[in-house]
Amino acid sequence: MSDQAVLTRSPAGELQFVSFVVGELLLGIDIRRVREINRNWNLTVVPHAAQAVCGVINLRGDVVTIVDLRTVLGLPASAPSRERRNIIVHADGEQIGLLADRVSDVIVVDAEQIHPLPENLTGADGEFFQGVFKLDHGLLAILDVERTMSLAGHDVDAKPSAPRVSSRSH
Amino acid sequence: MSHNDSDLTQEFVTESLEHLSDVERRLLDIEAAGANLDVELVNTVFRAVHSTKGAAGFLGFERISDLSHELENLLNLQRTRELATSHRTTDAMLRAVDCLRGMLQDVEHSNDVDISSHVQELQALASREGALNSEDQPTARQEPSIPVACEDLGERGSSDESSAAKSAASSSPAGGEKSIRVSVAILDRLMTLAGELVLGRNQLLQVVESRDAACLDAVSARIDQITSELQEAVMHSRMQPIGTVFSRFSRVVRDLSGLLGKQCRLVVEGNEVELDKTILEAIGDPLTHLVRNSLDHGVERPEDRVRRGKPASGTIHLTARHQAGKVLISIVDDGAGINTDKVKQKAIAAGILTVEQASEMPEREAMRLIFHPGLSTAEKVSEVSGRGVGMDVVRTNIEKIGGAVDVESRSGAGTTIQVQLPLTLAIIPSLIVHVGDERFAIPQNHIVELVRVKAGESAVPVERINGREVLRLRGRLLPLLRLRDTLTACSVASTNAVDAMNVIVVEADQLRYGLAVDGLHDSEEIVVKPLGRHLKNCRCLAGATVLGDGRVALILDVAGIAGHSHLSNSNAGTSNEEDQNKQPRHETQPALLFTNAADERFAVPMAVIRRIERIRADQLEMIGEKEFLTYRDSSLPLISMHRHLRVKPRPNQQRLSVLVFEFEGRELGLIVPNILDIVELSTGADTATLREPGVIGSVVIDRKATRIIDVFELAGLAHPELARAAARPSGAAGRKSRILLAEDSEFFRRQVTVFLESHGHETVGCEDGQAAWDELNESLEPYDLVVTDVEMPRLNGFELCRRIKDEERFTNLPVIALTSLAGQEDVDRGSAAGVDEYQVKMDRDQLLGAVSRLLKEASREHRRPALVAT
Repeated sequence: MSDQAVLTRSPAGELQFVSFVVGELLLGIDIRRVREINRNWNLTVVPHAAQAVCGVINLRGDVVTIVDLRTVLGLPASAPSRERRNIIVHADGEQIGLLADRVSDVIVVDAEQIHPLPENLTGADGEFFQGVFKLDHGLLAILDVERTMSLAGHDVDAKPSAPRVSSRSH
Repeated sequence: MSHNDSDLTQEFVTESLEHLSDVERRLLDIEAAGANLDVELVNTVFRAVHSTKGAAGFLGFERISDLSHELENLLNLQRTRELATSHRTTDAMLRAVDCLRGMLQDVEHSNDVDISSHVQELQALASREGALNSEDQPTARQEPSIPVACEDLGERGSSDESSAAKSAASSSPAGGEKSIRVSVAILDRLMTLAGELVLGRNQLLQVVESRDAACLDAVSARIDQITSELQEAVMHSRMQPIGTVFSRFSRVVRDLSGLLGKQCRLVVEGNEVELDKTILEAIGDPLTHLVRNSLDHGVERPEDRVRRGKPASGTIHLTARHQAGKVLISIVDDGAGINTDKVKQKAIAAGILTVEQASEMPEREAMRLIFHPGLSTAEKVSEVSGRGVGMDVVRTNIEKIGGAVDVESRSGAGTTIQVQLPLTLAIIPSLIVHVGDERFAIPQNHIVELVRVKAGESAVPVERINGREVLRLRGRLLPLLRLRDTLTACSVASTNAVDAMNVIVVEADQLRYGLAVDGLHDSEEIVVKPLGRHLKNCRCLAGATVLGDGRVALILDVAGIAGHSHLSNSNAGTSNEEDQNKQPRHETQPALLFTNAADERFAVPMAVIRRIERIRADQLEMIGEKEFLTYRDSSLPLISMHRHLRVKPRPNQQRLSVLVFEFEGRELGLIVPNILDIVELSTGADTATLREPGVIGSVVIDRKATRIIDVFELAGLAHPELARAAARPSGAAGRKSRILLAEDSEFFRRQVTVFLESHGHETVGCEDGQAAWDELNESLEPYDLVVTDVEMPRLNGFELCRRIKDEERFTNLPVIALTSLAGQEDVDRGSAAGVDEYQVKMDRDQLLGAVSRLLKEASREHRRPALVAT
């Protein structure tokens, strides 16, 4: 993930983050990873999908998976609201939508000012973040998109597949 | 390594691999040409190797350069005719090319590869330049003395194969290429269309601005047309000639036949047929397997072939052609064919069949057993290696891409395997269904039929067996899944009081089941979109698509749903029952089920019914003893069952039905009080117990005895004046014509015999094709005509027909094939076997018409040639 930080550092040492709110957290994603922010609620629910996957939407002909960040972060699932948004990001050559409660400003940050996680954010929750930035009124947690995406898919393959295999090889 | 360098290397690898793929083919051509060496061909190969060597040396890939150099040396000797081409030289060079290819594919580590054995071999060959021709006879295929045991049986793909053949198969560039070559013409066309699309958009924006509704139509039509053309052009850019896959098989056949001690020629046709590249990538391994099978288990050893009067060298025809919007690939060998007895024995040993089932199984079904998962003893190592893969995996892989595979074989004459493939995977016709608010797409190629089950139906066709729901459909039990329950995620409140259930009967992996959905929408051509990585593991889904309203619909994976619900062919319980129904012990016939008095059930085969009329009881007229119905300005003679059969009187009711059928060229009606259903009638009827004139026999349907009515016999009883006209023999010159009838079902045999004899033909019935063939050969009196069933144990109808037509003394013996259902495929197969006519069973008038027509033709044209010949 340090690679990430190096890559996103602009020559001036300044980074731009799209900030958004999930639950009580203010999170940030490097603006260069964000393709668009929309409120497309034409969700198609996908049966047997991981819990964090809300469904799929049609984004100009591409079928894009929408992941509920609240579920990923262990919060109760989000309820529909006027402020809720899909943040479409690029992750591993695929477009994925992250569901945020509310999108806030673009915040310009000096890369030098990004600190490692404070003690109270490490542990299980800490896995999702690359670091924090102190704002006047609180903290901006920088979301580790790759990590979040891989954790979001965790409970997908818990489906039992053994019976089919065993019945075939009698 | 700097950026520039890696670009350069990539280009070198791509280009060299391309050169090498040509080299392999050309080396085989050179070998085939033998002494008539085409120097220009050798030059081409030389140049390709030379440029690889040059570039490799420049980029510092020494090993590649060294090996190319040795190869080049040998080729140089060859083109100056200092070294004769032989099997050994070709072998060595092909191996060197394989090695080169391997190094190129992992070019960064190519300098660590040990090439000494190849270098030594090539040098050894080169140094013997002086002693040319001394021991290598030019191009004569030496037979390596490696005895390889192989059984000519369904256990395919288990014996030894050369590593060379393996590497040739697996190293070909079919596995997920990152780039493809597209002709400039197509790119130009795409560019033009993209330009058009931009113009269209500009127009659209203008029209929207001006709110001119009239112009909107024109613009939308234009955009519609451009979109279709663009789609077509893009699809076209993905199409690649199948030759790219076929090209590897010359090598496979060459290497494997050498190893197996066989001689075999591969004839390839249809290289230019184009398929979507995803399909091409998926089809490579299954095809390799099929080709190897044909060689391994089909083509016999030279000595065996000569003994059987065939040329020592076998031939495998590999053909691709377009047919009805699909691509048909056939792999035809002229080998030993499939020994169905052995296949059956294996199946019995594996517990797939009972002895009884096996003995009754038709030939063609038995051949298809080779695709059964339990029969293939080969362990499933991997799909990529193309080795150790059973035929069931071949079938599964072909079905996965929407294709189908079938086998046909004639003992001693060879085997034909046909693979049917869709042109493209990206757009598939599908049925849109819905459950709750969600819509799903089911690919049409998995759909067998749609069934609507009414909730209030008297005989409820949905039952529970072992806690699973099953659907009773025409006597078969189908496992039934409710899509709503299967996809628990759609926890939409179930619509209360469903008045009807829509069941889609689907089939995948040879497993058939019903899928209940809330409702059906249209059938649409859908564009398949991949699902994201979070959803790759959902086995019930095959992808997604965007529907007309812009919403996403998921595409169901029929096989995946079956797997998810643990339905499988080998499951105990319901599916076993289903299996048995799937391979019925007897053929079935659709029949109309009705009652007379409440508890008396009867059935009439649907084939004899022309139509059904609903009438009021007061429309019946009595003239003398007989009943008539006047309608359409003529009177229809009617038959009341209770006047002629041992049945209770007809219940007094207002409305009645009349089954109209044809008897002796005119219509008659049978009065039936209450029609119940249409059922599949097993032909294993009891023809003794309840037999009486007008009743052929009885069967048990839904645990109730049901009498099968012979409407013609009944008509004869009711209207003897009509029947008498028919009793005149129709054979020529007063002599009764002799008809041989082959039919395995006693029920039908009796039935058809009655038809024929009532018309004055002497009829001899045989219980299967073999018995009929024996009778035909042993009988002292000649036969004038053969009427045969198609599906029979031991020898089926087509086989019987083929034998008859192959025999000179029988060539003019007409053959009528009888089927329950004449599908186009059957008709085609029948005419290939030489069948003169196709008739549907139980359709008495049609059959008799065909019989007298064929008899007349035969006697007129050939003056009873059968008599003369014997």
